[in-house]
Amino acid sequence: MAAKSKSSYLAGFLVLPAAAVVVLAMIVPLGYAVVMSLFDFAPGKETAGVFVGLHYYAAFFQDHVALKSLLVTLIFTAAALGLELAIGIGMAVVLAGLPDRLSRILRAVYSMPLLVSPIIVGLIWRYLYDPTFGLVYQWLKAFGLEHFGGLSKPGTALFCVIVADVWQTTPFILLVVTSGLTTVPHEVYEAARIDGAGFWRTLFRITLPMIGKVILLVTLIRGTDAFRVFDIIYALTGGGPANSTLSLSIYAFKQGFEQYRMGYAMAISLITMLVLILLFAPLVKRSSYMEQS
Amino acid sequence: MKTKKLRLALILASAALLSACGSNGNGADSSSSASPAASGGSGSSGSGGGKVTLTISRWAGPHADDQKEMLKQFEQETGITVKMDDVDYAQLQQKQTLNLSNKTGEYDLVWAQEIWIPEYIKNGYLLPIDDYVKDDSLNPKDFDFADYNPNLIKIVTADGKLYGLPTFIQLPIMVYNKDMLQAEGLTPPKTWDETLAVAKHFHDKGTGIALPAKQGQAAVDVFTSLVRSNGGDYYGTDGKLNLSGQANVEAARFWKDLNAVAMNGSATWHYDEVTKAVQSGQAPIGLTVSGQVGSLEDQANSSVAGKIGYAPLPYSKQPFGTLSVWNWCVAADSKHPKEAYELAAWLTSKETEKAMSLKDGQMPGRQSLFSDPELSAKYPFFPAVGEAMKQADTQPLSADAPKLMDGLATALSAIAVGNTDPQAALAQVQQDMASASGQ
Amino acid sequence: MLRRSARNGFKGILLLAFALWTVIPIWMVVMTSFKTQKDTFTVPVKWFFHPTLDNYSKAFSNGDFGRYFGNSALVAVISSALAVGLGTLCAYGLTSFGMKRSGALMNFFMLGKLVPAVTMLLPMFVLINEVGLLGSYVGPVLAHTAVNLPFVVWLAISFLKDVPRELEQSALIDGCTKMQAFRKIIFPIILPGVTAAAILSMQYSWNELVFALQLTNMDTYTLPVGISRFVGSVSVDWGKSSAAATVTMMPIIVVGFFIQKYLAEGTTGGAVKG
Repeated sequence: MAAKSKSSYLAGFLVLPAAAVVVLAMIVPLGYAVVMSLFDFAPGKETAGVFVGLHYYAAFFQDHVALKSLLVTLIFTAAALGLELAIGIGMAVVLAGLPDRLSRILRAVYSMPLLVSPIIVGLIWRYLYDPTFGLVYQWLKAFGLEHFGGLSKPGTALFCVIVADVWQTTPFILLVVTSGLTTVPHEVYEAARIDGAGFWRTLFRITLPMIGKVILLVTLIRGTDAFRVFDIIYALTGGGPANSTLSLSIYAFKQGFEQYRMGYAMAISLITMLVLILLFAPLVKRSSYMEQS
Repeated sequence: MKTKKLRLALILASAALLSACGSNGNGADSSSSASPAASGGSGSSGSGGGKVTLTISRWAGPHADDQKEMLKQFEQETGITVKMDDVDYAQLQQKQTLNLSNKTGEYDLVWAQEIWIPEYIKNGYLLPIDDYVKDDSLNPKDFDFADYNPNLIKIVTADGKLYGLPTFIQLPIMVYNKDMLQAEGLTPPKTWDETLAVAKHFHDKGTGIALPAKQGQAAVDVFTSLVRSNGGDYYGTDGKLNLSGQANVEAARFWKDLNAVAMNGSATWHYDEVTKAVQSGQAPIGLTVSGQVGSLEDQANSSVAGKIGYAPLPYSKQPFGTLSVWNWCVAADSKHPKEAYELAAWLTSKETEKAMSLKDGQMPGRQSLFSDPELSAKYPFFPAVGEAMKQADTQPLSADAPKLMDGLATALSAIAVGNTDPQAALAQVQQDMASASGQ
Repeated sequence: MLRRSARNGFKGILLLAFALWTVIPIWMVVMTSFKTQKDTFTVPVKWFFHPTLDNYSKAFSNGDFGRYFGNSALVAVISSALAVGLGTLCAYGLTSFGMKRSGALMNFFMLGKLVPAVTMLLPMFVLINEVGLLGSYVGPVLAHTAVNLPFVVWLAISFLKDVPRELEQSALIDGCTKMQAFRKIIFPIILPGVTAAAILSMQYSWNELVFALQLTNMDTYTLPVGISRFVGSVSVDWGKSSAAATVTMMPIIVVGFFIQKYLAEGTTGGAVKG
């Protein structure tokens, strides 16, 4: 009995520092945000804030710009995540069939964009997308596609931003899934081959189900990041043209620091978080680490 | 399964509750400790003895680098050390706001844009400097306060108190490549119709007019100029917002037509990209901002130096320029407000401003410099801007201006890309503004 | 046979195309950093040109890059060490003591992954200013540690679950304490995962801008703050920006090249087999 309680003290002791940091830097600000989202205040004027109750939360659902940014964020998350998963998993499967050394070198090359700072990613793609000087248009011109809207048309700007995001973060998925694949026992493939299963059949019936948990994990990590997207959009379009790339995080930032409506900014970011929880809670539930065995 | 979902929700609620208590305590703390800090700050101005270090906040760029060089002279003259914290323009307002609102004492002097000033003053971030202006011991020899453009002084004045000294004016202006126009047998346009005709001519040949049509403040500044040049205004004579007035709608239609004959990519461009397009010889004509045109005459980097003509923005009834001006303001929480003011006065003095202008063609807040022969010889656009200055005015600086600017930026972007009818777009902004103020 | 080589050919093209797609954008920046401004704005893009080091000398002369570099290294190393150290221990505490509420606690850490940066900034600024640590390294270190912790805890848990229980049991029977068992037996097994967590934490910290700018001052700015001064919205000097960008991304790419083996092994490890 005594030993048991001693070891649970130790467990508490191990958990506490990490929990303290998260409370200090995440949970306290979160509480602050919850409280301040009920007030109308400018930065530095917290004490002079006017209590408005749930007004900002109601306002969000009547603010067509806010609703549009919610839609943009949902589209961005779905499309970016979908493409990244498809390309990342696809390339991982191709890499898995290669000799060890070659796949290791290629993996190193493919992982480069992941390590580049978002500011630089913005710089790179702004340059590439420039209709006059950029490489993208020079190559499109070769195919007679120079009328592609690019970042300048509401119909295509979000797509262009998504392409840049796919460029940067597909490697993350590629890397994780690659190593996931290496753990699938070789015999499984052998058995499938002997059974006469084709490439696609093996992929969908055997390979993907075996790494289901990895896919869940990357979906969760990337999905939550994508939903809070800020840097890459801010660098490429600033939310335009015509708000066609305005994400929730950017809208919250603009409300808070450009229009000094801090309370509303807090409410927007909390709504962002709530939607995130609604979207990803089912995944968290299914993800492997949750299961207490 | 269900319990897990429930638990997640519970965690969220309890965590929020837990920290709500925490942050309440914290909020009370900050209010109680802020006031003594503030009073201590303004009281300790008489720090003549020790060595003083001032920290100033502004955006980074070539202009900042030139200014750093200039500051060495101030340090030599006064023995005061100046540290310049120059950050990216996109983060500047946020950084200043966080520091000024929390009274961190980090900055002694901040460079603020006219559209930020009303909020800064309202929230008590800035120190009134009237007493310092009268104190000749803090001013340079030929200070001559009356030489500051009175329109600019108005911007930094509230309730009869002065909160900053103006410098670095920017106006949207039109630039054109004289050679390229001549080659096509065209004359430099002045009015809306003439500009459309010239732009269309080039658009048919694959280029067009370079416009800063990215969703943002540049497009709004240009548009405001167009509106005012057409005799329109955002506010009616009764002071109420009236965006759908005839003159405003006409300006919006012109904006739409002009974008239809703009260079490919204009919809993603800010002033910078327009300037680059003209500088590289790609764009025959463009609308950019006065603060950047110095680089067009830069022999080393510009392939069009000496070939560029300058004019006010295209106008309908009379020329008009939307003025944007940067101001040196003493922070309310500065520990050395006197020295900070001294630096502001020095930076905006005739001598310093002229030296800065000679370096990179920046436009000062001092009226006398626009007729300075040395400056006009070096920068052919100086007289044109000086002329435009006479009809210039700023964006509205009312309390709801930031929201109006944001609404207009969105609307203009939508109009530029042909996504909406100009009249409907303006009506939409009007409606949004009304519902926001009703909230 | 023919079909097989056709498939291999297709594979080869795919691999090459993906490599080009990855490398060309980065190559463009490196190339631009060696170009004069006139070459940069020549259409079509010049692939061969007379290289110049002007941009580098410009970037180094008015950007305090030595200091930024030092600050970045310091913040990245300390915050990753904290995140990985605290996170791994926390994961051990959560998994191997049969704690009652460990599931709920894991959710609590998960919550940290969901808080938007915009929400964190203002309160953190107020907090850090209150305790007088604004402008020190504490701000960015705390923020980066906190952002990385949930991820590290999560990763470490999935690794720990892979370690057979019997190993720990037998160590305890041999007279090891719980902590000794962790240090001598368990930690070496999960080392690849820990390394990966460290690399990904470092990568985040090395590249993060908002906290590194707003919670610091001129003496503690990191590299991304330095580049943002060139890449800024006011007059983009492509040459200088590219030089600064190249200087910033090369160290982390080179480091990434050497340790990407761990990177891959790490991010999945436990979760895969679990």
